[in-house]
Amino acid sequence: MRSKNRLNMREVRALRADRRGTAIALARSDRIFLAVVYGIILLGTLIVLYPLLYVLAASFSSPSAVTQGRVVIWPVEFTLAGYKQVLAYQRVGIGYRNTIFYTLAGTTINVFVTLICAYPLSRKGLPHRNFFTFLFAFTMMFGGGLMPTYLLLNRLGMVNTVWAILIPGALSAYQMIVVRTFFASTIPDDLLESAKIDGCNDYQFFWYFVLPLSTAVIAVIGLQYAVGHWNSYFSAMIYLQNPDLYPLQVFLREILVMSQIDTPEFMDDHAAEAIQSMKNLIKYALIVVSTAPILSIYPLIQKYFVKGVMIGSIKG
Amino acid sequence: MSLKKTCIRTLAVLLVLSMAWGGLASAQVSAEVIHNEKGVLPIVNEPITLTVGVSQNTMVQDWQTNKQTLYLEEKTGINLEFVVYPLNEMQTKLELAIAAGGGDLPDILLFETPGIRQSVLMPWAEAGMILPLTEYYDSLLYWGKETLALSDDIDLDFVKKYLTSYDGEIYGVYGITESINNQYAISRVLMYGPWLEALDKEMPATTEEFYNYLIDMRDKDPNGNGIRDEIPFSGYSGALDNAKRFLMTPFVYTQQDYWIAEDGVISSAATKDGWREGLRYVNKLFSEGLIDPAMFTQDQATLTVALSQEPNVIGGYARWSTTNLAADDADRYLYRRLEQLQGPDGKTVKSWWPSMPTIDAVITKNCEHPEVAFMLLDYLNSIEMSIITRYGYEGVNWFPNDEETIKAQQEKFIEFWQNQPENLLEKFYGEDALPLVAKNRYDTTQWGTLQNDWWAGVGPDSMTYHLDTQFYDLGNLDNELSAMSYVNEFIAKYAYEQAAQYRDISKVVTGLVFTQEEQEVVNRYFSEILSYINESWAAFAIGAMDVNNDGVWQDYLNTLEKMGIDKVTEAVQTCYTRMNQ
Amino acid sequence: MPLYSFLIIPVVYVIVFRYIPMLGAQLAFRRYSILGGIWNSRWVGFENFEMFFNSYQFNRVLSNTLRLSLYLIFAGFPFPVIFALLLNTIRARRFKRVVQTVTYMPHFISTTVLVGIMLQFFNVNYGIYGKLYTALVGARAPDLFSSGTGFVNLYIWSGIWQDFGWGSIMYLAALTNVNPELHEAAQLDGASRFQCMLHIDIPAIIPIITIMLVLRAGSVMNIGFEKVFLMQNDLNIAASEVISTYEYKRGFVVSSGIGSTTDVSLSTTIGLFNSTINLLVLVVVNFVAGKLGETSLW
Repeated sequence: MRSKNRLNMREVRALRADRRGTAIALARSDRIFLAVVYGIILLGTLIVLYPLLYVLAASFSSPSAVTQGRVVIWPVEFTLAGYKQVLAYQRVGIGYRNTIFYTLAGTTINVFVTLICAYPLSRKGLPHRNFFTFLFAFTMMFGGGLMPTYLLLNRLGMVNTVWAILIPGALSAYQMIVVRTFFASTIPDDLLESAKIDGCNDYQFFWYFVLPLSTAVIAVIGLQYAVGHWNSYFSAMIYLQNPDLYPLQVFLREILVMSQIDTPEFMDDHAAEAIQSMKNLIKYALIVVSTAPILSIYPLIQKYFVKGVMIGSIKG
Repeated sequence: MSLKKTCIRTLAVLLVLSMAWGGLASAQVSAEVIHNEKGVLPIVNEPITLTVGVSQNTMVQDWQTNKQTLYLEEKTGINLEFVVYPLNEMQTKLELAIAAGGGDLPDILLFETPGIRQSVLMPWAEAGMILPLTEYYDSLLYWGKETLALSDDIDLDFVKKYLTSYDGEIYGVYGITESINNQYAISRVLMYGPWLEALDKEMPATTEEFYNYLIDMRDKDPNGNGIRDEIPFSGYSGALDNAKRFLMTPFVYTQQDYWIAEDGVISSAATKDGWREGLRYVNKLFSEGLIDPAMFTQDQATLTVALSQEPNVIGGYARWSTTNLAADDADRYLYRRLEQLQGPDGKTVKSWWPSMPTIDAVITKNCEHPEVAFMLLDYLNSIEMSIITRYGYEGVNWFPNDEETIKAQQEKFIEFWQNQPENLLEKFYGEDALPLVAKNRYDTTQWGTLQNDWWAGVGPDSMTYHLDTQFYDLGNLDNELSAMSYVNEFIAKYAYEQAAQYRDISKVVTGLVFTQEEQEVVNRYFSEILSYINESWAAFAIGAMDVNNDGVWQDYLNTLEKMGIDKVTEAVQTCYTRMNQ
Repeated sequence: MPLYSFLIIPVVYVIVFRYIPMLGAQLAFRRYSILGGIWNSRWVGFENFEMFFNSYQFNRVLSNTLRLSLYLIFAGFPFPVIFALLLNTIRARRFKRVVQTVTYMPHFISTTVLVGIMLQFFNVNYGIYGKLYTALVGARAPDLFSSGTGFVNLYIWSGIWQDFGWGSIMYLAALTNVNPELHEAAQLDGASRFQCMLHIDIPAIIPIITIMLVLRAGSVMNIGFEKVFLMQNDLNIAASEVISTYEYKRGFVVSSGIGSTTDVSLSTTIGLFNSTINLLVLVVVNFVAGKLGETSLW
């Protein structure tokens, strides 16, 4: 704790130094370097930002303004009609509820399984470590394909239950290997040894040392799993039949697919026209409605990226 | 599987026998027959429940409580229980359910227009998942026949021909939309009317006139802004079929997948000299900047941006209706249709898209009362239900026009035609055409909004030409295009007379029902071939491949051959011959 | 032993849910039929593979797939790393947060919408690109969607645009574990910020960079279907037909009705082919990584 306080003080000082831009610590070359860094980051951010602002503006604009290309960066002929139309679908409510459930429950399972799998594999002393790593890594490349997986879940009675969403993807070998690498490169061997001397067993070491020291990586894989669950629709579409269990994305995707279909040849003009304008109306509102909630969790997770300093103090 | 078939056949035979047996009223017949006589509502007196599989539809709020569902249940005495599949994944889910033994399949599956393909359905049928309905077509079909009787061109034999699989059985209940407009719309393009006036031109009728008109548009600044920003002709990647039919048919008959049948012999238009001639013409238009090469890359949305410029810059584009323009854009009423051009041989040929029956519903092996299910699906093809499926309910979604309105519309209509250069109305219909004037007015906004009144065209329905035209709204005849779909019917009818030589369905290669072996050949080779034909068409058109170079042309033909076009042609030929003996 | 007990759940999971379904891969050597299923469909040996290898476009789709994938790895991989390193040198927290949030947002834009926006922006006549080009150069802009190279560049750079912020999160997390005291000590010794980055930050995240690169190499054959398909047209198809779009189109002929004929055997075959190449590449890259540095997958 002592060292943590010290670090915070230093950080605060460095921060102030940055803000003033006149700190003694900053050499001239550093200032140039920082200017370049800020420049690059600003440029990158702006390039990313513009299309996003466009989507936002388009979602509040009248469909004809969007189709005629009159929207540049600000809503034209402001309207909430797109949002109203999207929210008019009754299933949006149920969908939100289910998505939040799948994201929370699914991410919890994912993180748990990933951590208990990654930790032993990060330990150099584990017998047959390479065999086990390969056992998992192999599943990154080879999968069973849709039909065999379906038949398996059908046999296990998991089809049309929430388990079909939560269990088959419980572990991503990719994430597991990333976490394993983290553990291996950031948890010092001597820490384990000294803990062992103090009578600490593997479970205790995992719980009292490994996990607290790995908040940053846990936050990252948690976020990646959560976003995966949030955006996922395929397994729900395939394994679920009861619409009351559908996540939001299944339904949103339907609208999006609809907006992607070219006006069919067989349809009469009136129908084609009405469908066309609906497509334009809801396309952008849909993106905003479906991504705003998951975007809002990011700032909550961000704080873990600035922590994780404790490990440094132990190492040093 | 065969046991099941036999059972059903026996059942059907019993059924026929029992009906023939003195024409007894249904209440008294044997235990197996639980339905009333055909044509009688309700279909069953004691309610039974059928499960119905449908795809999620963005226009139908809730299938279970949908007004059409309730109406149908009330009329037929059958309870319907829906199993709703996610949009676009119905086939995948059905295939998985079938792989798992098919125990989860609902009794009936309904499909959206244009129905399910034979090639998808047949493996299911062969595995015994789908019941053959051939016998029911003879013994139970009633309402569908009534509706088909309204058509001049389509009858039950026609429907059965294209529904019958290679094993001689029919596995589905049909749906059909007979629209003469649609049949010819695909070969039509739109030209911006005011520029014709600005350049003091007649609508071009030959390929040569079309070329000259495009040149004038390019050079003579029809939008009058002093800049050469005019794009004489454009289109978008989703409507290339439209453009190809319009540009190529004057040289060689161009239709879906490019097959042509000449005296029963199948070949690919893309290998013909006419194709090369057509490409020379198209290449000339591209190389002189008369056609916008962006038509290969832009989508509908980007074309719309181009169409919405002030002042207008687009002289014409390949699409048959102006739905690409926003509804409040006044320009959309200023476009005029340009029908197929006359070719260098002096003939005008229309590329035809016949109205074909599609498989819109099937009955699965899990259905305990297939005959009842069939009667239910047949009832969907009745005049009454067809209108509901397509247009909704009288007094809610559509309203009969009163005498005065009809009369006023008739006058407007006659006036419209009198102002046209050629009064086709009089020429072809005389006074007879008047009853066709919109008898009903319907609320077009129902398309594209979420509703709970009707099935939005899903499942079997029969829209014959006469039925459909009752619902065309004349709208505001002061401008041409607002009434276009209605007027098009007449123009199309005219084109239809003109193109009599291509009205023979045997000359159009469509609705092919392949055997498994044929299907395998087609699947194996044809997608690559088709993709290569389209790719080469584009390359020849923009000049990336030189159409005038004999070597290049020969290479193109050789490549097609190497890709196996002969094998596919042979498979198509076998199938075509079998179906059109 | 307690260490092994950690592995019980993961191993049971991976065997049941990953390895058992793999038995379905034998369909690559069978001709799938509904009645036969996985175990009893007709055995055809390597016929499915021959069919795939002998198809006319095999060379084209394979080389297109590899070209897109390798380009994406070489061009795309460094961006998140560099971005994370640059962002890490900044200490203004609020600015950093805003930048992070903004740059990770594009990850959530669906492919359909992304391609729609691209078509609009890069339209030669009326898109921002077309207008700017004409204003600057004075001539009509070349249509990027109409050429193979244009397609490849649009595909790659829009991919980088969409995912560099998202990808940088991993490296930012790795950088949090760098001991700040090292920086201080180095700065006291007169090292510049740039030198700190070079000699402290980069070595600290080398293991994770290596692993990410190895993992990335193991998905070299996976070029997703949707984006390529939506960006494809008759003019760029020579460069844009990849394995996934080819597979999709195969069942999709003679447009009379919905649905494509799914060839379960062929898609299993293609899947197996892709997986095998991925595995080989992964093993090779992993071996090289192990030789060059200390980090490797196993």
